[in-house]
Amino acid sequence: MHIHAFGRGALAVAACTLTLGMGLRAQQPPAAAPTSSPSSSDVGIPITSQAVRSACGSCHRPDDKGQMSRISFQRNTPEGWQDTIKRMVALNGVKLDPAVGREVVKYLSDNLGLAPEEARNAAYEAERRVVVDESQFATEELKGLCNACHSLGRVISQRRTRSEWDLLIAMHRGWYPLVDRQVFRRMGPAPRDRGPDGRPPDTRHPSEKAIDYLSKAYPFETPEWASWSATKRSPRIEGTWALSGYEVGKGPVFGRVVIAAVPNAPDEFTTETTFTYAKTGEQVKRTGRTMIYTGFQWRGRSTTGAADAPVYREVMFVDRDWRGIDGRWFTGGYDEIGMDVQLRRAGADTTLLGVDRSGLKKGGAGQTVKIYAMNAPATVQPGDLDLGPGVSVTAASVANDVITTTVSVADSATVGPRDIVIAGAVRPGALVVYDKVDHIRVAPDWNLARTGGVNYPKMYAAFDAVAYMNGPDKRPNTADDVRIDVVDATWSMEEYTATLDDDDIKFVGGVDAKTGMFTPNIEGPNENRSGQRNNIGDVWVVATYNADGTPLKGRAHLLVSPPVYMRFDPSVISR
Amino acid sequence: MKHLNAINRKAQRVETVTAASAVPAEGSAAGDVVALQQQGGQPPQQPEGPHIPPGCSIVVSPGWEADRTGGTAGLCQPVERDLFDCHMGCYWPAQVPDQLNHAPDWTAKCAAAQKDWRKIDLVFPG
Repeated sequence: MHIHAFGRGALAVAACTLTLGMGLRAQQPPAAAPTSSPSSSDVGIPITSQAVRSACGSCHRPDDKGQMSRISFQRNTPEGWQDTIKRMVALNGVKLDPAVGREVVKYLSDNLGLAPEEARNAAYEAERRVVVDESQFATEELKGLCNACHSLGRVISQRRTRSEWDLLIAMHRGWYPLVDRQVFRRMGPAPRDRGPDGRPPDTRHPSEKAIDYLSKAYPFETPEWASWSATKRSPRIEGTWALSGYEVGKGPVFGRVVIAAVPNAPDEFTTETTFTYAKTGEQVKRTGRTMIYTGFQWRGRSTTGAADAPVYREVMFVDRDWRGIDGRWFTGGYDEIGMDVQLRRAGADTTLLGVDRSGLKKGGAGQTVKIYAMNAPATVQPGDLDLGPGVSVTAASVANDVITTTVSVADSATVGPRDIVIAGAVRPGALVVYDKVDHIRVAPDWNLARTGGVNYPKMYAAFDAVAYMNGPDKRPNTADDVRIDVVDATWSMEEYTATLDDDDIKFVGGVDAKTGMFTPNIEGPNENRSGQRNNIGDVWVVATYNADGTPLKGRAHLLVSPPVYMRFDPSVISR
Repeated sequence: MKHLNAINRKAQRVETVTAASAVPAEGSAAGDVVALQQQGGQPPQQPEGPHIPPGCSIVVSPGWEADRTGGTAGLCQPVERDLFDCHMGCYWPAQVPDQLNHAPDWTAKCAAAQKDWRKIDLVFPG
């Protein structure tokens, strides 16, 4: 039996129940009972969809203005609406045909959704990113409440009236009674003393503070939504798009996506994607299908067609001008494997997408650089290319939109970034002339993996080794460091010593010496480990790079965790 | 510390480890030992930046994925030992199925999680 700060286990729960009774007397009274109907001043969004009315109307009866209780007073991302519907099915006895469910999610996302400006900050939630810094959203009012159990991304991808925020917290307290004790109630009595500034203390209950904050920071009515809902329409994005992307561990990808409209379905599209991993030359073809929600939220999936190939889910953001689309494509047991993707509408002009390597060594001859383009010129001579001062092109050829060049960098060249110019197209800062690699860093500098392989999927973790120059201050890890390129390194692990005789490194799994991909060990108690501990732990993932004979090391903190036994997966929508 | 002498084995091990960590390895920051009681701040060798996965509790210490230092040394181990208590008490409702609402029969196939953990299901609510 392990008993922690608040106690776990039967004994602890019993103790908790006792202290709950005593605690209630000691602490301030609980927050006022939430209202069961919206404030009379709230103006909701009328629901005109027959599908929504018949699926939800038996409980959420429409009023004479067509407003449905709860539903009309909140706005959500497609994932948010889907989660709500799933909860209604799981816990409230709703029976819904999947096709009707999809129609309901579509209608609600389109008509009670988020404006692009509102959704942008919360995009990481739907994109299922692992390494995320949420500190900018973790204000004093929210920290320790919502993110005690789930990401703040779930919170900031919603907009509600004040009474709806109130009811949301009430819902949590109803379904998960211990949560009330764990996070929503302050332990002990409300503060009585004046603050250092002489002002009376803030005696609001923590959940009241949160409601006050949320209803101001994430309100139901906003100018952004008023503007977007007035102009929103089905995007016309059919055509050819240039793709540039990046996958940690595998490097840059370049290619194209041909988007075709599905007849009689204005928000649905099919995709034909081809791209190349620039480092290895591996070519990939994928076909997919996507739905656009709220006029800009791309939710798709694609496959190579091979039976064992993973399906990639696509969560992207269509720019307001319909000229750019960006987001993340991902797969894996925890959506942890994937690439950042940018699509740019292809015109008739030449567009430079990127390069296979960005670092050019000063004083080096015969360095090959592949430049990936859209509509590359039919022929390219060395003189057609301008790679900046001190960099001369000695050979150039073009095939299949890839310009292969051989360059020499003068001994006298100044170190720093260089633009690529060809046929009127410019790629700023695509190359970096360097004299020597001063230090390397591992990116991301921390990561998460999960044990699995028996009952639960493994969660993998990928890393890159990035070479840097120290910059003018000649010191590593400062703001003026110059990023050179992602480099090939030898990968290993070191113990992250947190206790005496720490031995996590023997159990957590292993990192591939060549690719830097970490594979965790299986879940479950390990009989060979003291206390039958799981194969969890934290270690350093170390990259060693050979810089002209000098080994340079960089490292990242890797947390290897147990599985998650409950999956509120917000991205099933694209399945 | 210079006036204190280690008189038992544990104290001698502490001296050995702290002396070794005082010499930083190539490419690493100094001081590789983090005491568990050094809570409330980031362990000194961690690079700047977040180390707590979003959605992992650091309030109800220890969290599901990370303890208060951002590591794993303070976690309840093995998880199977306490898993059903989390289940019954709705203790980690975002990580473990709760008996109260979502998965009343979650433990049906498995009398003791620490022995029968292979029978524990992954739950997708709804």
